[in-house]
Amino acid sequence: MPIRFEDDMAVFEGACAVDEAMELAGWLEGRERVRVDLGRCTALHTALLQLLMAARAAVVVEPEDAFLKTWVAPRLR
Amino acid sequence: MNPLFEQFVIEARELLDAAGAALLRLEREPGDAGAINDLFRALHTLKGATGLFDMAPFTRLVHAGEDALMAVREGRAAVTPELADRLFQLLDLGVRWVDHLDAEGDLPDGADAVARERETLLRAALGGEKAVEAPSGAFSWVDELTEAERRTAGGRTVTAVMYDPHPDCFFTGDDPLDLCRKIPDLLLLRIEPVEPWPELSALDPYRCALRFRTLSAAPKDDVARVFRSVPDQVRIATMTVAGAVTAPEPVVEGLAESILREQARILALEGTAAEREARRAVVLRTVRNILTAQGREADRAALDRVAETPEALRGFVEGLADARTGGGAASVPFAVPAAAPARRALRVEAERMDRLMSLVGELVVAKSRLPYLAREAREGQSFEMLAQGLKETQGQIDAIVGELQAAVLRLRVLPLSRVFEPLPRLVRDAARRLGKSVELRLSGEETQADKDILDVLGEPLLHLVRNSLDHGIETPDARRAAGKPETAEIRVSAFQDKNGVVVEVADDGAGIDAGAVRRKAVERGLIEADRAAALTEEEAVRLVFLPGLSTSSGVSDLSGRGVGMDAVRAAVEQAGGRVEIASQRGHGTRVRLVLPLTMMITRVMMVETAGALYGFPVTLVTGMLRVRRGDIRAVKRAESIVLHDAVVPLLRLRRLLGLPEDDRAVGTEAVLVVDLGGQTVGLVVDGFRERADVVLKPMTGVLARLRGYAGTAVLGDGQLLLVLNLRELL
Repeated sequence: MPIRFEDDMAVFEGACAVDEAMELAGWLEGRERVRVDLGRCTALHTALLQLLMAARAAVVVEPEDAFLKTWVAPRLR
Repeated sequence: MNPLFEQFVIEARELLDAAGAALLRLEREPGDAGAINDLFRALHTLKGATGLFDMAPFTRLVHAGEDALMAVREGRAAVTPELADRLFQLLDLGVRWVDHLDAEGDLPDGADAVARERETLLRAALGGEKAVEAPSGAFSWVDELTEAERRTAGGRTVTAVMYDPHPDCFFTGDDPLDLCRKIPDLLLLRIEPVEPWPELSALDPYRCALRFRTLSAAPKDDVARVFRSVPDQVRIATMTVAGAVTAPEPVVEGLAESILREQARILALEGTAAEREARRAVVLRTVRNILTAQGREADRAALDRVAETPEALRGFVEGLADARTGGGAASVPFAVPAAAPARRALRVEAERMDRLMSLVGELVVAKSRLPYLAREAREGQSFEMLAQGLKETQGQIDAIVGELQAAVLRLRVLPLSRVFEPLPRLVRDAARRLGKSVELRLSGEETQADKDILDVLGEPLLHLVRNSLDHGIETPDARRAAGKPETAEIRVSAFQDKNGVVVEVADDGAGIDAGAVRRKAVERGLIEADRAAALTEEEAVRLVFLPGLSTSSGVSDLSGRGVGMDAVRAAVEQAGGRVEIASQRGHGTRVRLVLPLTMMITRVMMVETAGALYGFPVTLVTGMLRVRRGDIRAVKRAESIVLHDAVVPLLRLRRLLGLPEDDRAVGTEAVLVVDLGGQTVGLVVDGFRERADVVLKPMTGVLARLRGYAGTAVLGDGQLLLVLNLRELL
């Protein structure tokens, strides 16, 4: 399971693909505070990223993946 | 040529075929969502496959088609005949390129220019679709970098990319962020919403709402390669030239996956130790190549660790194949082997091969009884016992050989859909060009025939359909005037009957003017005037099979100069078949090709003449008669009989073969009635014998130059049978 939902935290693990978009959108909807754990995420599909950006999610655990850490995580503050 | 590339060539052909079929359906039913999706899927898979290799023009070409379809799917454009024409041309070009790739290993010169031209034409056909051109100043954001951004990128030579993904790009399997990840020497990546974020509930998760602005230190070409599957969605500007850096090749997963899965399947096949070992070596090589191409170094190292243990290797390869696909095999072309046509390669179902294998096994067992019998003979076993043993063994071997023969024949059997395939497109294009409205109805595609027969059938069938379109079917105006529906019908049907495979091409067009055919045949000196006058309507129509007779006064680009029917007849008869034609003026024409089921085995009618046996292909024989001598009319040496109220010329086989005249005093003559496609003749022979299935061997060496013989066959009792080619004898 690439995305695990815990209270107001979404934990991304491994390669998270477009298939997860619907479920993530459902989880995000109506949520005030959105926090994400990208620690063990290795790939994040654009569809997921744009949902997180639109929901103004904040990264609480920085990704280990260099690309995500440098270019993507800073978009989620 | 590497295996991946060979696979690409085969697959690309299949995809182009599939796309063509879907396009035909789409043109007929512009609202057919299934057809659009099939077409789209075929093009998309093809685009992915071209991306595997360095052939940007091909990718561009296919992409242009995909784009046009996207416009259709979104209702921005309609499927007009013009658009369909452009798409068909695109597919045709694709086919030519694949041929070129197959032969030369690369695309033809100037492919890029041609691809661009097609792209422009397609846009024009879409109507009003604006060309994507970078407006000047689009890259102004590069000058307005923030202080922090300037620290990494500033003062360097850069390649700037503006990537505006298509909103629907997720549906075509694109992941823009993942593409950006592949940009070599990334200096800057800005991810921006295209529009201010809407309420979360109003955001469609499946439409891409982001755009990307990036800078790279790599040269433009290297960056452009990353985006070669989306050339219309990026604008790339070179600022200066930097040192070359090679990017890892983005490998399209579908193809690699299916190859990996196939490797796992190969490993699972049964076989002797030696066979398995050989397969394992091949599989290892293939898998290693793929992993290298994909840059999966870790997997490659792991592969080497399990290489020596077959079980572990198989599990590992399966794991590799599954790792990348979430079970989404829908777009994997390998999943449907049966429906795919084979052009050069013959696809054989595994069960058929297995059957053959087990028969060979049985044969080996049966054969092993022979040395044992030989030993018994040496040791003085009684003749009765030996004879008994030999007979038993012979019986076993006989049975197995019979089954082997049948199994081998089945290997070569393919459905006729293969030769029907080009017809819809042919009819569509020709009807459009000629301004005629034609409905093509196909039936019996599932009928099976030997591969060689299909090869023989292909050309004549095209010819007949072209003829129908060109000469048979009238213009809509003429049809209306004749009280017929404006849309004409061409029916092509296939079925099997006891003599072989029958393929029929029938139209409801103008029919053949028997009078005109008669006149022309006389004019050309192909037949004497009085004989022509004596012909019935049906017989006169069959004159179109005579060499050098054209029924249409005009020459068209479609069916040439009317030499076609003769060629059709020649091709079909060469294969041991025959052609029948029936036509009714004003109501249409029906041409029937009757072909043997296989060319390996020919069914012959045997006759005896002057103490020797001769054979004729059964397909040519229409009857056997006993004719009283008194019923034979003779004018000088030209003899004839009356058959079904028609005069049939009578020939004597002895005379044709230069044998002495028959001096037996008989009251009746044995007459074989033979249809020579357009002409019925009676052939006097000494006596009829049975029919037989023979394996016909063509004459070789010096004998090949002898006219009049189709070949020889050895009969069951060892006698040699000469099979005659009557037309050459006459």
